[in-house]
Amino acid sequence: MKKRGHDTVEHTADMGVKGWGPDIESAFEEAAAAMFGLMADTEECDVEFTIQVSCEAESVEELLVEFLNSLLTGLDLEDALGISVDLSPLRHREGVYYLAAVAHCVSISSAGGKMRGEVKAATSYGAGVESSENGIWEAVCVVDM
Amino acid sequence: MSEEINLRKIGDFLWEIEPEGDMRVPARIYSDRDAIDFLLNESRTRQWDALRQIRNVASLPGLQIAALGMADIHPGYGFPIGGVGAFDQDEGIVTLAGVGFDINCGVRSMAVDLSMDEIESNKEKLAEQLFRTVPAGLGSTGKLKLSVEEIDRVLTEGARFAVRRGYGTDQDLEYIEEKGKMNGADPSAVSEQAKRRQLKQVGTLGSGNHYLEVQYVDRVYFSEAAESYGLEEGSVVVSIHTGSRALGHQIGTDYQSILRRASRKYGLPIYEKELVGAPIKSPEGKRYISAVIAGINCAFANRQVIAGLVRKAFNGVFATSENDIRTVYEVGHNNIKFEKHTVEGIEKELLVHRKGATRAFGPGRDEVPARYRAVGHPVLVGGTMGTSSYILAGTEKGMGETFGSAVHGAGRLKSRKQARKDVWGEDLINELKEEGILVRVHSKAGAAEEAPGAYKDVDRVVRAMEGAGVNRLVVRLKPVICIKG
Repeated sequence: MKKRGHDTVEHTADMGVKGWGPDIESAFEEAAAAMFGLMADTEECDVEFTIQVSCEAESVEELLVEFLNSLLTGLDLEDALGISVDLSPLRHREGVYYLAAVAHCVSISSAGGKMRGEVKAATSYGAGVESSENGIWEAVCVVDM
Repeated sequence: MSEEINLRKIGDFLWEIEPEGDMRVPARIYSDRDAIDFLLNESRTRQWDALRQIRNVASLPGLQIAALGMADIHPGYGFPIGGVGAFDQDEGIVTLAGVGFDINCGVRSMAVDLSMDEIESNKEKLAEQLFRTVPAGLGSTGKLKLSVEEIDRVLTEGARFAVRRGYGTDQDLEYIEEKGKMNGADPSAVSEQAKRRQLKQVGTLGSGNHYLEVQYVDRVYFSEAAESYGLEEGSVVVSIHTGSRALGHQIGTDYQSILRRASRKYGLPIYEKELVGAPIKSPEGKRYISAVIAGINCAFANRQVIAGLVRKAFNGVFATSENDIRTVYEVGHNNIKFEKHTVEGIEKELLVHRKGATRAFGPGRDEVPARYRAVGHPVLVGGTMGTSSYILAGTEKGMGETFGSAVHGAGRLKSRKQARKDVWGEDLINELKEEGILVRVHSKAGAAEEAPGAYKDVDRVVRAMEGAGVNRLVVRLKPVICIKG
C-alpha cells in the first residue's frame, strides 16, 4: 500500500470514502480527495481559486465528518469542485479538536463534462479515524449520495 | 444484545424480531422468504446491516407498537431505508437518522392528456425538450433566482410559493400531501448557509437516484382506485422524483452535531453515531422538527416548480395547455409528521418517521383528497430506469399495522461501487434504447450506479406488501423516457 492514498468503500445505499497517510492530517486530506472524486474527475484540472474551511469537534471522528461537510458547503456556495486540500496541523485544546484547511478548486462552469454526481452530506455513520501499528492513519466516512 | 438476529415468520410476508436486550418493542419486516435470507446473510457478512439497524430503532424511547421495515428495506445510516418508526410525543424522540439528509424527497405523478402514439411519434424531441428544460445534475441551477427573504417564504409557503410565481395552479395543491404546505416551519431554525445554498436550487432535479420519467400505464390491478385516480391502461404519466436539494442536506448537516449533543444531554442511548436525536418536546427537538418542516416545504416548492417546467416542455412539443397535465398526487418518503393513529385501542397523535417509506393512508382518512377518499390516496413507488414503477393504495389493515405506510421504491441491492464495476453507463443507455426507453443523463457514471440490476426486483417488493394486506396494487407504469442528473 502506498504511504498515502485514497479509495471508496462499499455501502449498499451510499458510498464510503477512505483516506490514509503518515499522519492524521494527510489521512483527512486523502479522504477529502476521495470525496471530490465521487463528485467529478478533477485530477487533471488547473486550480482556479481556493476556499478556506475551518471546524471543530470533540472527537477526531466527529471532526472528520465536520470537515467533509464544511467542504461540501463551501464548494456548493462557490459553485466549485474540489481538486485537493491542504490541512494545517490539527490543534487539540481542552477536549476540542480544531481544523483549518485550504481547498484548491475549479469552477463547475470550467470543469465541462467531468461531473459525476452530488454528494449530499458526510454522515457520522461508520465514521472512523485510526492509526495502525505501522504508523499509517486511516480516515473513513460514509457519504450520502 | 446478541449478535445473531432471530427472525420468525408471524404472518403472510411478515417477519418479527422479538424484543431482546434493549429492545422496547418488536421489529417487524414485510418481506418474502428470499429477501429475508438476503438480509440475514447481509447481517452475518457485512459491516452495514439493515436488521441490526431496525433492532436499534426498536430500542429507542417512546417507540410505539413496533419498528417497521417495508419490503424495500436496506441499510441506511443508523435507521434503515424503508424504515418506519412512530413515537409517543411525551416519551419519544425525534431522530435525525429517521429523516436523513434529503428531507421530503418524494414523487409527483402527473397524468398527461396525450396518447402513447403521440408520445412515441415525438419521443426523441420530447426527451431533448425535457432534458433542456429541467435543470439536473451536479451544479445545475434553477430558473428562479431567489433572495434569502424569498427563501424564507419558500420554507413557510411550500408549493404555494411556486404557484404564486406562475408554476402550476391551485388545482395542483389539492393533490399534494399536506396540500403542498406543512404548518410549523420556522425559518429561523434553518441556518443562513442552508438558505444561501438554496438560492439557485429551487426547481432543480439533482442527481443520484433522482429522475424525471415519462411513463405509461401498462396494467391496471384495482380498477375502482385507478378510475378514482383518473388512470386507465395506456394513460401517459410523468413522474418527478426529487427532494429539498441543498437546503435539506444542510439542515441535516447542521443538526448532526446539535442532536449529538442533545442525545448526551438527555441521556439517550446512542446505538449508532447517526441515530442521535432529542426528546420531541425538548427545545432541541422542537427546533429540529420546525427546521425539518421548513425543509419539507422547500421540497414541495421544488417539485412544484419542476412540474411547471415539465408542462412548459410538453407545450413546446405538443402545444398542450396547463390543464392537459393533471397532478395525480405528490407524496414524500423522507419525512416526520404528527399523525393520529390507534395504539392499543386509543387514538394518539404520534410523531411518525418515514425514512425511505411512503405515507399510504387508506380509505376514509381526512388527509386524503375528497376525490380519492373512498379508496385512499395514490402511493407512488419508483422503480428503476428499465423497470416498472407502481401506484399503490393503502388499506385498513395497513393503517392498523404500519401507521399507513408503504415502500418507496425497489430498494438497493448492490453498492454504487459494485454497480459501476458491473455496468458501463453508455452500454446501459444503448441497451435501454433498444428496449424503447430513451435515457438522457448528465453523468454516465451516475447512470451506471442507477442501473436496474443495482436494485431489487420492484415487482416482488410491491407484491410482498400486497401479500401482507397492507398495500394494494393499483396500476403498473412502464418507462419510455428517463431524465437523470
